[in-house]
Amino acid sequence: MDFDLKGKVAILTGASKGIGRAIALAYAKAGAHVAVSSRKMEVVATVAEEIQELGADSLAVQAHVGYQDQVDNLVNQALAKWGRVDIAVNNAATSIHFGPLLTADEGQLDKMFDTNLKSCIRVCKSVLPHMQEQGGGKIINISSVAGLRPGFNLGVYSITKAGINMLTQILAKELGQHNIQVNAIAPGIIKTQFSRMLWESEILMKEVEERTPLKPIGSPEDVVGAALYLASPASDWVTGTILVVDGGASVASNF
Amino acid sequence: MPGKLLEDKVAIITGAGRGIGAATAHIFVEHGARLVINDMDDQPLKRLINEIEANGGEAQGVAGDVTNPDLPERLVNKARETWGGLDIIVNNAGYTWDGTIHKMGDKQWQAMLDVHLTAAFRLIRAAAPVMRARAKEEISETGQAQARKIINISSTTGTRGNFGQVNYAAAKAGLIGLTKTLAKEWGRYNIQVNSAAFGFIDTRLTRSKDESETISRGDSTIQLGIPDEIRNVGTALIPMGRPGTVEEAAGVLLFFASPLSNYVSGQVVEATGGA
Repeated sequence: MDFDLKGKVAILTGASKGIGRAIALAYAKAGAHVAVSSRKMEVVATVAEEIQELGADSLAVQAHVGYQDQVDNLVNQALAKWGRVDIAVNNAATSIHFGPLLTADEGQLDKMFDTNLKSCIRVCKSVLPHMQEQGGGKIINISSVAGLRPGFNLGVYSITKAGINMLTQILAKELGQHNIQVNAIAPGIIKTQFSRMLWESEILMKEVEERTPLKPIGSPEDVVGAALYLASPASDWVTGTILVVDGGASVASNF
Repeated sequence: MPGKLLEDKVAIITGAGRGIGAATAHIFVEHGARLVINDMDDQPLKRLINEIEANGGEAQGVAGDVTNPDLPERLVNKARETWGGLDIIVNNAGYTWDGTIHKMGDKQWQAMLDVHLTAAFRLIRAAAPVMRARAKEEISETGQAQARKIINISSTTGTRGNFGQVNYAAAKAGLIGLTKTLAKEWGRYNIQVNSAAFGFIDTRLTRSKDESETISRGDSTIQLGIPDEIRNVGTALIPMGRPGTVEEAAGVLLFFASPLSNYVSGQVVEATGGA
């Protein structure tokens, strides 16, 4: 038993940087064929090249997760190249509202619910018939600790991530019969462009450092281990879980 | 991540003679770990050691009851004397002694706390001089400690309750509080502390009561297993359509024991097949 992914085909959304890119590279090192996607081709093509440099096979696809046909195209291209899709990682997300929840406008709400939450449904709809036919598969949703406990000024983001957590549990129940495992990873504060506003805040970071058992900020590489485990046969009976990767910060929270 | 994930790591696994413990021992050895394994019963332990050594692995056996106050130190000493250190503890030993609360005597209640909770507490405490102290030394010498792991086996009975298992539930839930607190106390030493809460795994604790496997503790004879009606309903409620295997249970523990989980601490992961 190990976390080897030799010959598996993985597709990832939002894979051009940060956690998505780190997972894509780790899957490639573990032997998988990896299809990476993002809204902008130039950026994701770079990641596909990095994968090739590791000696693994890759595919770069431009896909905006807000559109079912673009998501379908991502899946179809992977199928055309490799004939199967074993692992789908829903990583694409946006956070365009920061502040008290009730100051978010309709446009911000719509965009965030669509990009962060409905996108997962689109990807799952797209891969389901193929995974069913193949006799199984892995769906990994990148959630956040923000979806588990209320923080400050990230209400809309938190709601979409809480939605992902419930989506994960529902799909685990519905798709278990097809041997498809559906799990989520809830990272804590990870040092990427996406969370810059958090780790650049001295006040916030001081508080986080005091209460986090391990180091207060993780790197994308710290999240990769969970993604490898959940993509591998070692986790074949684990489904519907939300794996928190945050150095223990969440158990240290005061309610 | 190809290759052996636990190369040269020293691990203690309690209750390793059968079930999840034995499966975990095999997988840890495959990944290069050196083991101190414990079980109540001598025979399964000897058999396991033979299997491990036949596959080129290294294991030391310490038979005994984890509720014996002397045993935890014996396990830690064995690790220290044989290999000079300790990296991983898996608190797995235990059994079930089911009954409804209005018929449950103190002995039946206390037995579960002793074997699942107090035994784990004692083993971790006994390991402090080797794990925590060693980590402190590493930090003062080099600025950081290598990652060490404590893995406490809990149960969905502990996270959700289960009819007829008030004693087991309290003990397994207690382990969760212990896990989270220890994560806070030992995080600064780069020791990750986590718990796997298993649902329905196929072991002698969940087989049909008709298979009549009994154990004795003191002057009590305890029948293991669960009634058929409950087994059948339980299985039907699992989205994956079947109980988990001991190897699948061990897979969670491999994740927790390996560098893949170096940023995961204080967590309780339920492995349930979706139930």
